[in-house]
Amino acid sequence: MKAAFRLMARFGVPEPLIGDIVEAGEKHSALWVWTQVLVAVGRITVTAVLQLPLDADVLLQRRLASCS
Amino acid sequence: LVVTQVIALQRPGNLDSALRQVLGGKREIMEYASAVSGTMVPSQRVYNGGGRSRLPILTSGIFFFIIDEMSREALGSYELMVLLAVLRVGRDAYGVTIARELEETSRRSVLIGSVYAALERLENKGLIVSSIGEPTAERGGRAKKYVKVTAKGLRETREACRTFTRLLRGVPTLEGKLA
Repeated sequence: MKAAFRLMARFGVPEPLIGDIVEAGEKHSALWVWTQVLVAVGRITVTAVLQLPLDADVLLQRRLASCS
Repeated sequence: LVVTQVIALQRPGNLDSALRQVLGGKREIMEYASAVSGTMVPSQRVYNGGGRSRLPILTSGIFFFIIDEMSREALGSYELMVLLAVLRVGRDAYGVTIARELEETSRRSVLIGSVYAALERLENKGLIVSSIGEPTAERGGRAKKYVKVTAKGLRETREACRTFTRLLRGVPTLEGKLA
């Protein structure tokens, strides 16, 4: 299970959410824990990817502003 | 569901009355409807009781605008479930207890990650507030994130429950009758 928790920490899953999965994982199977971990990591990844174009847009606007 | 009912009720082409009928005159949406009917919605000559009058109609642009507004402002069904679970748990409301409450009441497995996603949206809407507790050993030294429903959250929950009750009333399929 340590690998699962390390994976969440590496992907920047919030500490309280990791703590909740650790706490609830005591009463559940390894499959349950891994499902929760993969969903948490997937959500963080999707959120980060969705923010990328916005960041790129802001950077582009700054670049254009500095050029003009 | 609300939008579908609005469309279904829109037989004479009256957006205001359809919204009033479905939403029971919810202030924010009624204000929006009045603003829209005064400025953006093209009017159409329709039969109104004894004579003909000009009433606003629901165009596709307005339809998608309403959907967009509702997704941003109104409570989703999962968000409402999470809000109700927070209220049921009370003071000790954090990820695990909220997920457990949802599992017990819905009799389905709940993903803690999805509970957090809903809590994040609710916090952004100002319906809940969160605070970080003390780290505990059983959680590997990680703190709990406690949540509490705000006055606005309580008001929105009551309003959403009333709306659902109104929508459910008089639907034959849901009352066990054949449609």
